[in-house]
Amino acid sequence: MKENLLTVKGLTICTASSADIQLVQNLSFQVASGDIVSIIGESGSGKSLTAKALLDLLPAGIQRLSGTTQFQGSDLFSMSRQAKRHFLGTQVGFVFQDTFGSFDPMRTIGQHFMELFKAHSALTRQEAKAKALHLLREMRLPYPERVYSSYPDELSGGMRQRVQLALALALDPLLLIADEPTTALDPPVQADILQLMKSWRARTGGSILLITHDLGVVAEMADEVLVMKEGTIVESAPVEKLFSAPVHPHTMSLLVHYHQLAAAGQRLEFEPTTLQEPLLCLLDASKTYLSRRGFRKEEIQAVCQVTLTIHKNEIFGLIGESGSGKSTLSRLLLHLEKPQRGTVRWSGNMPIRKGIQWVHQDPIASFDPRWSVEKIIGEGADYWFKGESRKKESILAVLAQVGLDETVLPLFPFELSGGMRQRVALARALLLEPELLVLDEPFASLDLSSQSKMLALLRRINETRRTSILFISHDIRAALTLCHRIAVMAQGKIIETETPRRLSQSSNSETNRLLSSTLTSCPAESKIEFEKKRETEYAHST
Amino acid sequence: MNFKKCSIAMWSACYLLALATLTAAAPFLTSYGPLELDLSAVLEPPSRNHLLGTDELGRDIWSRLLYGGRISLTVGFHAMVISIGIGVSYGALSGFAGGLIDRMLMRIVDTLLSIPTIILIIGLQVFLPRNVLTIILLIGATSWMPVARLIRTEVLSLKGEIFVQASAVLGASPRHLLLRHVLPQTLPTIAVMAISGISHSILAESTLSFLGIGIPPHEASWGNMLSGVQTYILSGGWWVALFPGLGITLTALAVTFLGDHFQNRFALPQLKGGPST
Repeated sequence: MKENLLTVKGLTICTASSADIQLVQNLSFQVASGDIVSIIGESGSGKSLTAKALLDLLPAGIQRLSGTTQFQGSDLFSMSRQAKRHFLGTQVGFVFQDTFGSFDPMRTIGQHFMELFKAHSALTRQEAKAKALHLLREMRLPYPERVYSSYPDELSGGMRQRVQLALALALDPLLLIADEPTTALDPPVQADILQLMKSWRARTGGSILLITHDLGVVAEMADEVLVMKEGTIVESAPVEKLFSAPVHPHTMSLLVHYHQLAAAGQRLEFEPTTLQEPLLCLLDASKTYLSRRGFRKEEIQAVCQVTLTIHKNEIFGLIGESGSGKSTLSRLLLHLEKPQRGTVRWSGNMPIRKGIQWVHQDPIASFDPRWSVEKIIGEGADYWFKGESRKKESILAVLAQVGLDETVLPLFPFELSGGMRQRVALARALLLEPELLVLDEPFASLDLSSQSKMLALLRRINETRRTSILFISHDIRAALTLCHRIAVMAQGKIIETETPRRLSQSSNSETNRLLSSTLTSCPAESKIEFEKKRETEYAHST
Repeated sequence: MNFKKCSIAMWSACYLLALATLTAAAPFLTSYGPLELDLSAVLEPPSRNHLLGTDELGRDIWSRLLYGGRISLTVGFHAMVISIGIGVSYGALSGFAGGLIDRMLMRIVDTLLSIPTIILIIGLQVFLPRNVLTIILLIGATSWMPVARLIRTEVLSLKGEIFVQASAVLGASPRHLLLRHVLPQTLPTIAVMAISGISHSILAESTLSFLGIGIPPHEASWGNMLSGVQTYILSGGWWVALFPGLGITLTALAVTFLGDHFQNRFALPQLKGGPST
């Protein structure tokens, strides 16, 4: 029997204004030393609040109502602020999802380490620097010296997450609290970070409290799993038992959605029989950007000699990591930019601007902030159905199609949830009955259950309206379930274009790298949680 | 809408409305004309006969204040309209066109800005008749450059926003993009510039008249009421400078408060009357 490092009993969190609105109710769990305990739940289930309550970081307007926390035998909540701060600083390390917000943008990485060692240890400057470099090297960061003297914005998201981890582990804590540590990262980087956390555990015997919405991460990491829903723990079990014999219906539905996406390779009933005539062709197109560094100009090859054809009635997937040139390629196809070499040829029956419609990965940014939902969805009608009276009916028709009703029409975009925004963006695109839909990361701000609904909706649109779809994503599993053909992109080039069945057996190393990272990712989950929080805050203040 | 937040704007609006009514009804509220000389009653302090006293030529200050207010408000408002009109269209055109056109248009603005306004106006006045219309045109024509610069910068960055491009994909023409999406986003800026334009124009008129190159001396305006009265203040005639000075200051203040209010009105929906903090 292992001893318990952390014991939480009866933790209840409510809003400051009313003890009746309980965001987390009567939560109890233990973390045994050396274990990885994972809290899983959909956005808004209260999992992040739990972690923040443990770290005494609850946002304004939310407070802890009751509960005790024993950490190594001492009660955390009854300590003085000062003592708790020192205790948490040295014994508990934490990593958050937001890799940028946790750094001071005006300080170098080295200064962050110095501050930490100055507050909690008696190391001299030289010793501190040596230790920081050692930690950075342990996190397998290339050129630790360079990282040490860089500012946070000069590092990539994955590098910042490694640095955050190094900072969290710098004082040899007993417990690491990680709140969605890999959610905002590309799949291959996710796997690296998880590996680093695991090897830290193996090396030091520390415990990890891992908070995530991703069952893939749980399967990879956890010993014990707590499933949270609406502020309570609905099921708690060892990881093997949870996956093999879930008890609670909520756990089962999570597992069903997970398996639907994870087992993509086996559900390939969409093999196209014959390709129809081409709709949009890109011939040998290249696009470079000039970037200024001081006085030097550098050319960045965003798209390099790409040739691809999207056929009528086809769902075409474009897969690649961030920075591989997918977005630039989509802008070329949308005729928002011209390629420097090569041509883009549209052979649809409608004019381009009506025939190709676009759903941007960040829907809120693609809406005029001054416009109501009704105006936003109806905008296309203003340009193409001039003087016709069917505007209102067609708006209602597309709303029904994406699963919304007329109650959203008078709202402004900021009043919608992430999933609703995505639907509104899709409705706007569908209003013109385009021949080609360009969807840029359409699942980025949706959680698992909304994702599978969206997949079904897209499939239906493709089948009933004969609409072609260009599906751009870094999520290869979603692409495998949805698309007829998939192109893999890296460094501005198309590496291969295959049907899903053949792609999943591909021998190409780049494709395999994408395939092997079997974790899903929803980079915008924090955004959803932030919005939910803001909505509750707003509801309480009025 | 929060009443407390609103009240200073309300007071400002009331003040401006009262001022407009008083100046419009000036003939009925005064017993002397603004230009009527009375050399037997020079520099008289406020009394029952002359409500706010008389100036160095025996003209009634109350009467001159009301008639002068007409001119100051007219100049302030119209010069602002001209300045905002030129500035917004010039800036929007320059920012939206971009490239070579933008660069050429902005160099013209730089050139104009490098000439001091007062010298420019004195130079231009040589060729123009000296009356209220000229002053309006001159103030309007010399104050639009900062507006153009500001609007151009905003349009330039708005042009690259995703919602503008999304609308282009929906089939909006450049004219639609500019008028339906880009310019409405600049409304808060325009409102602030317009309001500060009014007080700037009122002050500019006063400055010019004070220097003796604005409204001709035979017409009353707040500016030329102040022109050349320094000596009388020193000899105890405080009423000569106080009332036109108060008129200018209060009006500029009221207009500014009203501007703050309108800035809030034109703000994005999510910033309007959101959760009270």
